[in-house]
Amino acid sequence: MAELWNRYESLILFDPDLGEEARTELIGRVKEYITNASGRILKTDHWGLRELAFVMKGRSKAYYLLVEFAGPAPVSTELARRLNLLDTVLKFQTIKLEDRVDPAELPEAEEESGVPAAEEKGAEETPAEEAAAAQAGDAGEAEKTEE
Amino acid sequence: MAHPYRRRGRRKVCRFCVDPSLPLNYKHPEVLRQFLSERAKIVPRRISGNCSYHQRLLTREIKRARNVALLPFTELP
Repeated sequence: MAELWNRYESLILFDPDLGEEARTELIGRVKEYITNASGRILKTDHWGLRELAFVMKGRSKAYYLLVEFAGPAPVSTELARRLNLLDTVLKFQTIKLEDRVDPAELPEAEEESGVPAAEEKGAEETPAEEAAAAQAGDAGEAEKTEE
Repeated sequence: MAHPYRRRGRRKVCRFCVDPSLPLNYKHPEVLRQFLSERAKIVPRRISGNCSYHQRLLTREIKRARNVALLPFTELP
Protein backbone atom coordinates (compact mmCIF):
# COMPACT_ATOMS: atom_id res chain seq x y z
CA MET A 1 0.00 0.00 0.00
CA ALA A 2 1.20 3.41 -0.90
CA GLU A 3 2.21 5.96 1.64
CA LEU A 4 -0.60 7.65 3.49
CA TRP A 5 -0.86 11.41 3.61
CA ASN A 6 -2.14 13.96 6.06
CA ARG A 7 -4.45 16.82 5.26
CA TYR A 8 -3.53 20.22 6.67
CA GLU A 9 -4.75 23.74 6.71
CA SER A 10 -2.50 26.74 7.14
CA LEU A 11 -3.52 30.27 7.89
CA ILE A 12 -0.69 32.57 6.94
CA LEU A 13 -0.46 36.24 7.89
CA PHE A 14 1.54 38.33 5.46
CA ASP A 15 2.99 41.77 5.96
CA PRO A 16 0.30 44.32 5.04
CA ASP A 17 2.86 46.76 3.61
CA LEU A 18 3.79 44.38 0.83
CA GLY A 19 2.94 45.58 -2.64
CA GLU A 20 0.39 43.62 -4.61
CA GLU A 21 2.86 42.07 -7.06
CA ALA A 22 5.36 41.30 -4.29
CA ARG A 23 2.59 39.55 -2.44
CA THR A 24 1.41 37.47 -5.37
CA GLU A 25 5.01 36.47 -6.00
CA LEU A 26 5.41 35.52 -2.35
CA ILE A 27 2.20 33.53 -2.29
CA GLY A 28 3.38 31.66 -5.35
CA ARG A 29 6.62 30.89 -3.56
CA VAL A 30 4.79 29.60 -0.48
CA LYS A 31 2.74 27.31 -2.68
CA GLU A 32 5.92 25.99 -4.23
CA TYR A 33 7.21 25.11 -0.79
CA ILE A 34 4.27 22.77 -0.44
CA THR A 35 4.47 21.25 -3.89
CA ASN A 36 8.26 20.89 -3.71
CA ALA A 37 7.86 18.89 -0.52
CA SER A 38 5.65 16.55 -2.58
CA GLY A 39 2.48 18.00 -1.15
CA ARG A 40 -0.60 19.00 -3.06
CA ILE A 41 -2.65 22.14 -2.65
CA LEU A 42 -6.35 21.49 -2.30
CA LYS A 43 -7.73 24.93 -1.72
CA THR A 44 -6.63 28.50 -1.28
CA ASP A 45 -8.77 31.18 0.23
CA HIS A 46 -7.76 34.83 0.25
CA TRP A 47 -9.27 36.52 3.25
CA GLY A 48 -7.47 39.68 2.30
CA LEU A 49 -6.41 42.52 4.51
CA ARG A 50 -7.85 42.27 7.99
CA GLU A 51 -7.54 44.15 11.22
CA LEU A 52 -5.55 42.21 13.82
CA ALA A 53 -6.98 41.72 17.29
CA PHE A 54 -3.71 42.99 18.73
CA VAL A 55 -0.57 44.61 17.44
CA MET A 56 1.86 42.02 16.15
CA LYS A 57 5.40 42.88 15.11
CA GLY A 58 4.37 46.51 14.93
CA ARG A 59 1.51 45.83 12.52
CA SER A 60 -2.16 46.26 13.24
CA LYS A 61 -3.28 44.65 9.99
CA ALA A 62 -2.27 41.63 7.97
CA TYR A 63 -3.07 39.91 4.71
CA TYR A 64 -4.66 36.58 5.58
CA LEU A 65 -4.31 33.56 3.35
CA LEU A 66 -5.81 30.18 4.09
CA VAL A 67 -4.26 27.21 2.28
CA GLU A 68 -5.54 23.70 2.50
CA PHE A 69 -3.12 21.04 1.36
CA ALA A 70 -2.20 17.42 1.74
CA GLY A 71 1.02 15.56 1.66
CA PRO A 72 3.28 13.12 3.42
CA ALA A 73 3.96 14.07 7.03
CA PRO A 74 7.20 16.05 6.52
CA VAL A 75 5.38 18.57 4.32
CA SER A 76 4.11 20.57 7.28
CA THR A 77 7.44 20.79 9.06
CA GLU A 78 9.13 21.75 5.82
CA LEU A 79 6.56 24.47 5.21
CA ALA A 80 7.00 25.73 8.78
CA ARG A 81 10.76 25.81 8.38
CA ARG A 82 10.53 27.83 5.18
CA LEU A 83 7.92 30.22 6.49
CA ASN A 84 10.01 30.94 9.57
CA LEU A 85 12.78 32.15 7.29
CA LEU A 86 10.58 34.77 5.65
CA ASP A 87 10.36 38.05 7.49
CA THR A 88 7.38 39.08 5.37
CA VAL A 89 5.29 36.45 7.11
CA LEU A 90 4.09 37.81 10.44
CA LYS A 91 2.74 34.54 11.68
CA PHE A 92 1.21 31.30 10.53
CA GLN A 93 -0.67 28.40 12.02
CA THR A 94 -0.97 24.93 10.55
CA ILE A 95 -3.67 22.57 11.69
CA LYS A 96 -3.92 18.92 10.82
CA LEU A 97 -7.42 18.31 9.54
CA GLU A 98 -7.17 14.63 8.89
CA ASP A 99 -4.48 12.01 9.05
CA ARG A 100 -3.80 8.83 7.17
CA VAL A 101 -5.65 9.76 4.01
CA ASP A 102 -5.10 7.89 0.81
CA PRO A 103 -3.59 10.34 -1.71
CA ALA A 104 -5.59 8.71 -4.47
CA GLU A 105 -8.86 9.61 -2.80
CA LEU A 106 -8.14 13.29 -2.37
CA PRO A 107 -10.39 15.70 -4.21
CA GLU A 108 -9.04 17.57 -7.19
CA ALA A 109 -7.47 20.93 -6.51
CA GLU A 110 -10.19 23.46 -6.19
CA GLU A 111 -10.29 26.76 -7.96
CA GLU A 112 -8.89 29.66 -6.14
CA SER A 113 -11.53 31.42 -4.16
CA GLY A 114 -11.67 34.96 -2.99
CA VAL A 115 -10.36 37.80 -5.04
CA PRO A 116 -6.56 37.87 -4.71
CA ALA A 117 -6.06 41.24 -3.07
CA ALA A 118 -8.83 43.06 -4.88
CA GLU A 119 -10.89 43.37 -1.69
CA GLU A 120 -8.77 45.74 0.30
CA LYS A 121 -11.82 47.65 1.47
CA GLY A 122 -13.31 44.72 3.37
CA ALA A 123 -11.05 45.10 6.37
CA GLU A 124 -13.82 44.16 8.80
CA GLU A 125 -15.59 40.82 9.24
CA THR A 126 -15.87 39.76 5.61
CA PRO A 127 -14.10 36.42 5.32
CA ALA A 128 -13.91 36.70 1.54
CA GLU A 129 -15.94 33.55 1.08
CA GLU A 130 -19.23 35.41 1.12
CA ALA A 131 -17.98 37.84 -1.47
CA ALA A 132 -16.70 34.96 -3.57
CA ALA A 133 -19.97 33.06 -3.23
CA ALA A 134 -21.88 36.06 -4.44
CA GLN A 135 -19.70 36.46 -7.49
CA ALA A 136 -18.87 32.91 -8.42
CA GLY A 137 -22.08 30.99 -7.74
CA ASP A 138 -21.08 27.34 -7.93
CA ALA A 139 -17.50 27.84 -6.80
CA GLY A 140 -18.74 29.50 -3.64
CA GLU A 141 -21.07 26.64 -2.81
CA ALA A 142 -18.33 24.02 -2.89
CA GLU A 143 -16.39 26.33 -0.63
CA LYS A 144 -18.59 25.63 2.37
CA THR A 145 -17.55 22.02 2.59
CA GLU A 146 -14.90 22.55 5.18
CA GLU A 147 -14.59 20.95 8.62
CA MET B 1 -41.29 26.94 50.62
CA ALA B 2 -38.62 27.16 48.00
CA HIS B 3 -35.11 26.29 48.96
CA PRO B 4 -33.27 29.54 49.76
CA TYR B 5 -30.36 28.63 47.50
CA ARG B 6 -32.32 27.21 44.64
CA ARG B 7 -31.34 28.75 41.35
CA ARG B 8 -34.02 30.82 39.74
CA GLY B 9 -34.56 31.78 36.16
CA ARG B 10 -34.14 30.04 32.87
CA ARG B 11 -32.19 26.85 32.51
CA LYS B 12 -29.07 27.37 30.39
CA VAL B 13 -28.50 25.16 27.40
CA CYS B 14 -25.49 24.56 25.26
CA ARG B 15 -25.84 26.79 22.20
CA PHE B 16 -23.82 24.42 20.04
CA CYS B 17 -26.04 21.47 20.90
CA VAL B 18 -29.17 23.49 20.24
CA ASP B 19 -27.93 24.71 16.87
CA PRO B 20 -25.54 22.24 15.25
CA SER B 21 -25.14 24.58 12.29
CA LEU B 22 -23.47 27.18 14.50
CA PRO B 23 -19.86 27.05 13.32
CA LEU B 24 -17.39 26.14 16.05
CA ASN B 25 -13.94 26.76 14.65
CA TYR B 26 -11.27 29.40 14.76
CA LYS B 27 -12.22 30.72 11.35
CA HIS B 28 -15.41 32.22 12.76
CA PRO B 29 -14.16 34.62 15.41
CA GLU B 30 -17.51 36.41 15.53
CA VAL B 31 -19.10 33.28 17.02
CA LEU B 32 -16.26 32.66 19.47
CA ARG B 33 -16.31 36.29 20.51
CA GLN B 34 -19.67 35.72 22.21
CA PHE B 35 -17.96 33.40 24.67
CA LEU B 36 -15.36 35.91 25.76
CA SER B 37 -15.79 38.29 28.65
CA GLU B 38 -15.18 42.02 28.42
CA ARG B 39 -11.59 41.38 29.33
CA ALA B 40 -11.44 38.73 26.60
CA LYS B 41 -11.32 35.86 29.06
CA ILE B 42 -13.08 32.63 28.16
CA VAL B 43 -16.49 32.51 29.81
CA PRO B 44 -16.79 29.46 32.08
CA ARG B 45 -19.26 26.72 31.40
CA ARG B 46 -21.02 27.62 34.62
CA ILE B 47 -22.01 30.94 33.06
CA SER B 48 -22.35 30.10 29.39
CA GLY B 49 -24.21 26.83 29.95
CA ASN B 50 -22.21 24.97 27.32
CA CYS B 51 -21.90 21.22 27.59
CA SER B 52 -18.47 19.89 28.49
CA TYR B 53 -17.83 18.55 25.02
CA HIS B 54 -18.51 21.82 23.26
CA GLN B 55 -16.79 23.89 25.94
CA ARG B 56 -13.67 21.83 25.32
CA LEU B 57 -13.80 22.40 21.59
CA LEU B 58 -14.63 26.05 22.13
CA THR B 59 -11.60 26.57 24.33
CA ARG B 60 -9.36 24.96 21.76
CA GLU B 61 -10.76 27.06 18.92
CA ILE B 62 -10.55 30.31 20.90
CA LYS B 63 -6.91 29.61 21.58
CA ARG B 64 -6.28 28.89 17.93
CA ALA B 65 -8.00 32.11 16.94
CA ARG B 66 -5.85 34.02 19.43
CA ASN B 67 -2.69 32.65 17.88
CA VAL B 68 -3.55 34.20 14.54
CA ALA B 69 -4.85 37.47 16.00
CA LEU B 70 -8.46 36.83 15.11
CA LEU B 71 -9.29 37.21 18.80
CA PRO B 72 -7.49 39.14 21.52
CA PHE B 73 -5.62 37.53 24.40
CA THR B 74 -6.61 40.40 26.59
CA GLU B 75 -8.50 43.61 26.24
CA LEU B 76 -9.44 46.57 28.38
CA PRO B 77 -13.14 46.82 29.12
